Amino acid sequence: MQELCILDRWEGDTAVIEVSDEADLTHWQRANRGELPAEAREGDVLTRSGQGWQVDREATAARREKMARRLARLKNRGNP
Amino acid sequence: MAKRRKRRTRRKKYPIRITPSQGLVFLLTAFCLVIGLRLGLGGQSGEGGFTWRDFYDALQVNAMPQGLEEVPADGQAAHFIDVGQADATLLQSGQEYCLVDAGEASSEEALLSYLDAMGITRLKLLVMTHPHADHIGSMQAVLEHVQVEQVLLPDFDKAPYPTTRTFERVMDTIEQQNIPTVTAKPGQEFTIGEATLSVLANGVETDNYNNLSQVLFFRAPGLRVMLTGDGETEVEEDALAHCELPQADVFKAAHHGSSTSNTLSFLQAIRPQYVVVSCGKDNSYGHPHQEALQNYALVGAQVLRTDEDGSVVIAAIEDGLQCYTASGGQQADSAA
Repeated sequence: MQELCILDRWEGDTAVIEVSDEADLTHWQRANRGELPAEAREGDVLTRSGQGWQVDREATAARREKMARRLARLKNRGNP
Repeated sequence: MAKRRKRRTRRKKYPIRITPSQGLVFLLTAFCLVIGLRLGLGGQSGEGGFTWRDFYDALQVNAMPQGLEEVPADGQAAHFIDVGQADATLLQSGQEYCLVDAGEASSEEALLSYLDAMGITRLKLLVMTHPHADHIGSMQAVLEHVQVEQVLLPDFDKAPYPTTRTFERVMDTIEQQNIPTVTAKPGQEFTIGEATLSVLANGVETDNYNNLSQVLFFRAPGLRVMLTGDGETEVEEDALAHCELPQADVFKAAHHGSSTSNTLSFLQAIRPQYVVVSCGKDNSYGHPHQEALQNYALVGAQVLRTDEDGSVVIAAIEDGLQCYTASGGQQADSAA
């Protein structure tokens, strides 16, 4: 697989980014809020260019759709 | 005249020969002496000294709280496991357990070794408060390490769906192992031994996953614990508006003691005797924040911190609560 970068969370003005490499090993990277687009949300797929990060809208939509299907399969399989 | 014989004495030389095993004993003795001296000085200086915590950190060992063996097999306890700048809370009622969150990936060893040391092979319930990596980082490992009867998930429909590989791997494992899942809803109750874990609230509409965190209340004989994950002010205000919040003996500091959470009005509603902050030593976010610490002080709560105390356990005893910490502090308090 290609490198996959996803915004895991905001901690104040710090973005915590999950980076999965070609071997699907996970690394973590931190970036200042100013290095990401203002509209970046948790779960967005990011791409790097130069000093900054961009949101890959197409890849984000595809992953959110994939996880929606996954969650729909799992939802409420148990009994409370 | 007899010739006086001059007596010459020669000192016999005994070369010092040290066998490898003697050398090892010598080195160990010296090591213990140095550690003992430093710990002693640390204790005298009060703060800034070298502590057992530093020692365990250096060895990357997750020490069990001292005196924990006093908790009886049918005991009621909340274990705030030291997983660094992350969360993992083990709720115990007798021999049944519920784990709320599973630390970050780098704390896998600490978390699994704690579960092993407790002799846990089965969890009645595993709770994911929200899908951030500092709460689910070792969840896949937990699912593969012990048998999990059921997983309680946050209400994901209240936010854009999470997408990280960390999250996806947890979901893969739940699906592969065919573990029943339940989406959190207010009013749900889960039986853990003699205790009940209640979902009081299930987060708010948000694009900040912290605010998917449930408001959970664990009621066991002699012990009441409130957990709100990383829920921020919005979650606390929602709970104040829509729930009848019970008094709690123990509150797990929300969001690692961040000023985004731990509002005075929420703390005044639950009036905790103890607040336990789960945070990493010298963490880069400055947790716990001063504002939160002030609010804990204003409600008269005693603060325990995993960055200073290591893993913390608060257990019900005959006439109140008993705290156990890995740093060695032990304290009994009569019920308020």
